[in-house]
Amino acid sequence: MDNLLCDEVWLSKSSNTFEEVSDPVALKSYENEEFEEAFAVCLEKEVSFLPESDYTKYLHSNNLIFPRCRVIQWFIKCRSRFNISFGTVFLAVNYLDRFVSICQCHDWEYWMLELISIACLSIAIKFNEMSALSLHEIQVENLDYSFQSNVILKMELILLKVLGWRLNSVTSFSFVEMLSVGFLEPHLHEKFISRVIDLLIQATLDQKMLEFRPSIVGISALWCTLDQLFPPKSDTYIAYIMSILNQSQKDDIIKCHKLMETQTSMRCENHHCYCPLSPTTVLYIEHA
Amino acid sequence: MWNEESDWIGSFDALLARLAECSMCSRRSGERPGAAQMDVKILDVAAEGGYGRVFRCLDVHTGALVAMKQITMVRLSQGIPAQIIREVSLLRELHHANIVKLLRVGFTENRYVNLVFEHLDYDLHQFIVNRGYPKDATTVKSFMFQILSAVAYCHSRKVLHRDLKPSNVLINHSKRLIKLADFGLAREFADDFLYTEKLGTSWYRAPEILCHSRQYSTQVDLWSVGCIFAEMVIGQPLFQVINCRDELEGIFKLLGTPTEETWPGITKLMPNLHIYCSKFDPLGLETFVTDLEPSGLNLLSMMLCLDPSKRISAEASLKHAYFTDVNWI
Repeated sequence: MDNLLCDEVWLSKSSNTFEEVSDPVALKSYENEEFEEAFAVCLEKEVSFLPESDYTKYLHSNNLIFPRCRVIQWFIKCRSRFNISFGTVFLAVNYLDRFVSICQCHDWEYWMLELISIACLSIAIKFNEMSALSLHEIQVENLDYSFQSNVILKMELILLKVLGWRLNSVTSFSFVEMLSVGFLEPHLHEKFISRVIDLLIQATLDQKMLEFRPSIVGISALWCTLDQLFPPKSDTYIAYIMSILNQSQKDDIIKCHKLMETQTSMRCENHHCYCPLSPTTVLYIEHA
Repeated sequence: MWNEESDWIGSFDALLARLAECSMCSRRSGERPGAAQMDVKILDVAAEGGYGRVFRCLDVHTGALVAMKQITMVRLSQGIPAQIIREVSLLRELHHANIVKLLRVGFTENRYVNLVFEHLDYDLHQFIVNRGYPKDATTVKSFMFQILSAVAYCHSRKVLHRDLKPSNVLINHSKRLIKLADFGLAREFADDFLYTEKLGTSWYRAPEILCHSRQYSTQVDLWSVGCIFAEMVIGQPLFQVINCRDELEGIFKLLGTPTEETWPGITKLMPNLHIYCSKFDPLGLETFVTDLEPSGLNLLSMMLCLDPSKRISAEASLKHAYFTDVNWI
């Protein structure tokens, strides 16, 4: 049964307690037309990169919550092994979710999900990184199955066709990148962003968070991290962001932020990484 | 190793069949049924290059002229080439009057990728070489405005072209309409992102890339547009005209060797600058670009500014005085 457990070493690296920074630097002043325009473009674009509306229900009814969690963790392991960016990981997750939700296949087997995941990560790397990996190389990291290059190539073609070749997805990470430019001094920025990314990864693995749009998840993760690291700055920042959103977006952010806070405090209390509960039934993978 | 002959391939083929039947897939893909066969009749080969060939074709449904770019997939071990993935996916979301329209995408025997584009008569390179270049100032101005409109649009969508040159600027002869093409090196940009330096054609390559910087942004496209601007006026590549051993030396001869005052950060970017080349005093753009009105020369100098942080943006260029007297905008 070992292979059914979530291996979440990648999250436990960061300490669970947030130390106070006595003198946080001033946050960037966002109030400029250019920023608001770019933000509006992203909000408009994100709608066309969402999975189908019944996606969470579909994952549940096909017992895909846990297998999805596993392949996302595989993406994250690949990230550290191949030194790829988090942006690429979030793109791969987006491709996976869109593909599975459009495909609506009713007799999933785990090898299918693994094959699709390899294609998703391969395409995301080629779209977003400076250099590609071979289809053999990409399979080095802990997979249950191994596939020949011609099979993966075929899967890449299917994936691209199903996604309509629309790969420049707007993800929660895109919003974090956009909203945190020039935010803090470089020495604090890295630490701040790694905390935000932790929250984004938890959100990606959590079925409840699938209900929220990427912008909502991204802003909520920034808000939570600011609350923990720079409480005085948090209110000013959120007030400004809220001022450029509509009422339903504001409501969603408050809801998402609350959920994220609860889960973060749970995680800190328990001193282990948050992991979504396993579904009542899971696919047992027999090793060949 | 699982392969095509393995037991599970039956399930895989069933999955493919389900996908083929899936109405949502065809709706999402934006491709007509039979797009795999590309629905075109080849007339002749329009161009040939390292990537493959470009055919002039007829669309069998509409009878319209189209161009089909057939790219050979050489390294199948890497799957579909990154260049194709970027070009197609970015063109899928760039909808602008001055950007070439991608009509269909298809594959042949898993070896060729076929991209069907709207047909244009020739490119700016051919126009300059074969037609004695655009001698009248109005055409230069019109072409420049259209190129900048397309570049400004790309940048507003956070896309860098990274390979702007006359052969990637296509022309519709009757309408005098310009369209940017070849987004194979394009990518979405983010602040503080490291990119590859091995790109672009060297005569149109920005100095920060020639200095091996991997941290660059929209300004690289503006440098290339400046080079195209100068070439339209003088009839040949600007940095080919200057007698020099390489592009960087040519740039420094023309604009002067940079110092920490004129280009903050250059010594960090190129510590061996003083060893690499002599200290040149600027010859000045006006020495080489003689037939350009003062406001045009001013715009050109703002595009060909060594320090990327001081280089004019596409958006600002469109508002430049050079374009104020034009009634076709």
